[in-house]
Order: sequence, then structure tokens, then C-alpha cells
Amino acid sequence: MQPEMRTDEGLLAALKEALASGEHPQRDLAVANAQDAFSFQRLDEELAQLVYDSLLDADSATRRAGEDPRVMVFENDTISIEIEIVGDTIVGQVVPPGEVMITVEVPEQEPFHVRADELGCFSVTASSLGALRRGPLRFQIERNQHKTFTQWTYLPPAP
Amino acid sequence: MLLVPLASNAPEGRAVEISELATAELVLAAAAGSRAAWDELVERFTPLVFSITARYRLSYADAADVSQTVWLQLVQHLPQLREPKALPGWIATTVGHECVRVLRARHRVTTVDPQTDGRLQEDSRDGAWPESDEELLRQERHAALLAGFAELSQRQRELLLLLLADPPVSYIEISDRTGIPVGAIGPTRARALERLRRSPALAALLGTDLIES
Repeated sequence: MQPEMRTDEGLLAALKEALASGEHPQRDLAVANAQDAFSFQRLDEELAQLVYDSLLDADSATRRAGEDPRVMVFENDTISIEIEIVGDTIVGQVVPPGEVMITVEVPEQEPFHVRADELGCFSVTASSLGALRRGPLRFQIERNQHKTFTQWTYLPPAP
Repeated sequence: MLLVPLASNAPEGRAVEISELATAELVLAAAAGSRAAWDELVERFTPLVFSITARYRLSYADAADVSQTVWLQLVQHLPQLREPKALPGWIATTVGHECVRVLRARHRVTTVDPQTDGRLQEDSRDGAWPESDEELLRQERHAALLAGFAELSQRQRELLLLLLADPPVSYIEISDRTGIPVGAIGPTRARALERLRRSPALAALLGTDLIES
């Protein structure tokens, strides 16, 4: 049963409750960070969309294997990048392979660079990741001065 | 006062006040590179984002991270958003996905003893707590109201927020802060609420209600 929202008083009361549900103690900080996110807009960038994420996969969710790695696949017409997170290590593979430079990008932090081997494989460990374990990140794949960015994703920190 | 020249449907050379633009126009302006339009989008839709993270019982810290991830995704996604009016729906869906990710990742790394820990039963639903119909309706209503509220002009939003302030703010003070004459507060309030009621999200909700009753 919906509250009466056809009267002005009823609608105001419903709005008050809705606004209360969307409050956050650090709202202003969140807004400022989100507004700064605009500087990451690059109109000419090539985007690789997230096409698979084990965290959203119903099958793997029902298995509930505590030690399952998280697997993500980003793709566009020309490139595919698979990321696997096992413990504190990020292992990745770029297809097609070749001379590829991977950059892990995190807002407000120095980007981390790693070169893929001839099979397109690369890995990044916790010691080099540091603060990457928290907050949004994305991967930049550079080949022959052509850059592709993955969609932003979030690595929840270990509790 | 933030002004943006509109490339699309505005008469040539005319500048429009950002806060008066509809969401769809803001999306187009932001996709074309307007930081001011982007700032306004963030301002308008942040309550919707946090309303949804609260629905998934995320901690404030996780909610802030989900918010930032979603806004970063939107920056990238803006040029592909074919239907700018669909932004509230895109936000709701994307925030929901990110919340599920956070909850599932937590379950993976938390070791629990299935014999003694009752959380397992709850965890196995991956954050989908059993919600009563009433609670689901409430959440749906919140999302529709917040999406509709985002469609109001800044002046209208400011007025309604002042009218809802706790402790209450007097009409004289509201008039001081908004520049709306005391005698015009009532009619302005009525117009703002009518616009809220007619916003697509709320009109859809109220329409369903009508059929049910």
C-alpha cells in the first residue's frame, strides 16, 4: 500500500522519507570525488566493456567456494583482457598477445605499470599494489601507442 | 550562476542556466564535455545512489566506494548512453550490480564455520535479504521519488529541502535564503510538487497505484 502521494502533504512526507534513505555522513566528500571523476573523461578513448565477472555469475555464487579466484573479462572488437585475482596477486592476459604495456590506474594515485610477456600475460603482486586493494581501478592497455581502457571496477578490500 | 552554451536545441548563442536543465539535457552537455553539467548530475543523483547502497545494507565506507566506481563508470559510459532519459534506470542498475559485487567478495574472503555461524544461510543469498513486500514497495517508492526530485530545478529542490528541514525553517527565513517572496512560497511549493508528481518515475508509480485501486 503506497502512502497517499496525491495530496501535497502526503507527497512531502513521502519525499522526506526518501531523502532520508539517501543520506550519507560523508555526502559532500562523495559528491566532490564524483565531480572530480569527470577529469577521467577521454572522448577519444577506446573502451573495453566488462563482459564477465565471477562475482556476478550465478553459477559460481551458488558454489560458494571460499577460495575461488575472482575472474573478470573485458572486451571490445579488437582486444580482450582477462583478469584473475588470487589472494594478493592480480594475474592477467591480453589477447591478442604482443608488445603490450599495462597500466593499473587508481584515482589520486601514481599509476602502476607492468609489461606483458610474449603470451600477453602479466602479474601484479600485493607488495607493488599497495593501496590498489581499495577503491575503483581500471586497466589501460597500450599497444603501438594505441590505448584501450577497461571499464572501472572495484576491488573490495580484505576484511 | 553556472551557464552553459547548449550545442543541441538551444537558440544559437543563448546560454541556459545549468540548474534549470532536465536530466537528459545535462547528460548531453556532460557527454559533450561540460564539467558544470556533470557536477549538476552528480549533485542531483547522489541521493539515489546512496538510497540504493543503503538498501543492500552496505557500510558507509563501502557505499562511498561503490558511489565513486559508479560515477567513474558513468563518465566513460556517457557517450554511449543512447537514451539520456534512461539515466536514473542506468544508475539504479549499476549501483545494484556494484553492491552485489561488494557483498559477494566479502563472503569469499570471510571464513565462517557453517556449524556455528548462522550467517551462512543469509550469506548464501548473496545480499538478497528476505524483504517483505512492504519493504520492496518502500524501496521502489524511494527510488522513484529521488529520481523525480532530480528532475526539479535547483530552486525547487532548494525550496522543498528547506520546507522539509528539521527543525522547521520559517517562511521568512526561507524567503531570505531563496529570494522567493513569502507570498509566493505556497504556489511555488505546489508547482514543485506537481512537477515531482508528473516526473516519469513517479507518474509510472502513481499510475500503477491507480490501476490497483
